Amino acid sequence: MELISCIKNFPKHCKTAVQNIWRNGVMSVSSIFAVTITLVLIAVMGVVAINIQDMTYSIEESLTIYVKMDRELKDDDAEKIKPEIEKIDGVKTVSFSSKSDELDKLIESQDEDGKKLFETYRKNNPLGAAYIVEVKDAKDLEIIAEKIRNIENVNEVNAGGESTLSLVSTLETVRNGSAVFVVALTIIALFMIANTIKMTITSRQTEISIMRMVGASNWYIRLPYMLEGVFIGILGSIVPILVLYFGYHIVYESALGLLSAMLAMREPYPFIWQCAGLLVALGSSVGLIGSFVSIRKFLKF
Amino acid sequence: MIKLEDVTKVYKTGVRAVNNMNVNIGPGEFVYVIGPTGAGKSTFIKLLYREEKATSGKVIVAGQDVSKIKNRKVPYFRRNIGVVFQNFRLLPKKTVFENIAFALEVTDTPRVEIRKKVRKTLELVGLEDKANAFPHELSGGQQQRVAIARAIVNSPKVLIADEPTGNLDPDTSIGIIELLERINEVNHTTILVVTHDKEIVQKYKKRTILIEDGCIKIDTSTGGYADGTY
Repeated sequence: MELISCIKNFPKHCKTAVQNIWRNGVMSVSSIFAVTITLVLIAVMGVVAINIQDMTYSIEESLTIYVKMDRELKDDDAEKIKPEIEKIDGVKTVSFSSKSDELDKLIESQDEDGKKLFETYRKNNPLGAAYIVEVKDAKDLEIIAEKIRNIENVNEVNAGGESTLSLVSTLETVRNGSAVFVVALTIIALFMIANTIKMTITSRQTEISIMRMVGASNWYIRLPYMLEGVFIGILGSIVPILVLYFGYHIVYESALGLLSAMLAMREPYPFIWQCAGLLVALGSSVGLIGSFVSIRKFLKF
Repeated sequence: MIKLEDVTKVYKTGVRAVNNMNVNIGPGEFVYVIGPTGAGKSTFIKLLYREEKATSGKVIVAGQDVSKIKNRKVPYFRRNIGVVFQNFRLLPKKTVFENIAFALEVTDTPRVEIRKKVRKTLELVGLEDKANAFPHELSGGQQQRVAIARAIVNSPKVLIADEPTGNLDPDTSIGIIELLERINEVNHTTILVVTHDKEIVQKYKKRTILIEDGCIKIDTSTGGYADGTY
């Protein structure tokens, strides 16, 4: 019965909530402001963290294992090894590079004199074929390299050595660190918003006691406050979304020329809209939960 | 209408505010409750509108055993009772009309009927022209009239007034008491007025209950303070 009454009165409760926001002027503005500031912080930190994650992943992806085959091995025979490498756990892709491909690459990397010199090897190519192996997780680079080393006819395996390993672990730390930071910041922000809402509700303690006095049921009292929290959350997320929208565009465009493809930022769309949706959801749900929790203690009979 | 049987209220602090009280108030009665501060008057009326629960004994208001009402059901019970306070307790952000209408809105009264009833009640308390004013724009007496209007708009069976004239000057007080009397006559509402104001009690002679040390010392239907006891 109470539920039906709540649904029936929903438009009225919405109206009351808007009216309360309007008539409580300063209190509402300060709540909205608190939401705005915290959401801006979350948005900025979140976007930075996500982009750093993207970058670390793309750096890791660019880390490959270079497998040189024995020089005597013919291209046809070398290609037969491919399935064997693909079988190894954690290997993402294996691409074959034939003897002549290898020579091409070598010539390409030389200066004018070198190019002429190496061109003469074309007929009697001393280089072996090679494989370039991409792995799923950069942490496994060394383990997979070891396994490849044990395959027959493999001459040399290069996984980048110590420096690559330490790079991988550094990236890992950066990623985890930024994730922890964003989560911590979000929690702090949520507490801040909930606290502000609590303050506004405490200031209206008499109002609630009067409502109880004239016989308003608990949900009848609670609903407008909860809606008010939601509206404040939504209003508070407008500015953060604008900041996100324009800020990201500016940074993205200026970074476009500066950063290499490997370190590129995430495409603005649909990324911005995803973040915006997340901000609105975050703001309104915190408003909802915050007011629900704060009003609870005034509704005890 | 109101019946207390061997009611005792002991607060958690150990204070025995109401001690073995028995009283019976019939429908349509107008009763003054008097007594010194700390005698248990407030606890007495709090027991009636279920702000407090009796430690032992039976409190029956409007046919319901108050101590048996579940917490969740208290709002519905309160709709049978109008309460008026010394400090008016109006919603400051709502207009006079909205304040009075609020008591009807919570009971899901249709809008048209709300309008009709609020208008009628405003007429009864003599504030037809203040419907759109906010409480802070009114005088104390006017605010108390609004509070009374809110308390009676849903035609409760019982109206409890806790020091309704405590914040008002004598002339205004008389107006308020006369208004309560009119409500008693017109609507046949059972009315309980807690007061300190000797003049009022003596001027409008009604049944008077004197509470002292949590007990009913004197219960008279002739009115007036009993000599020397207060």
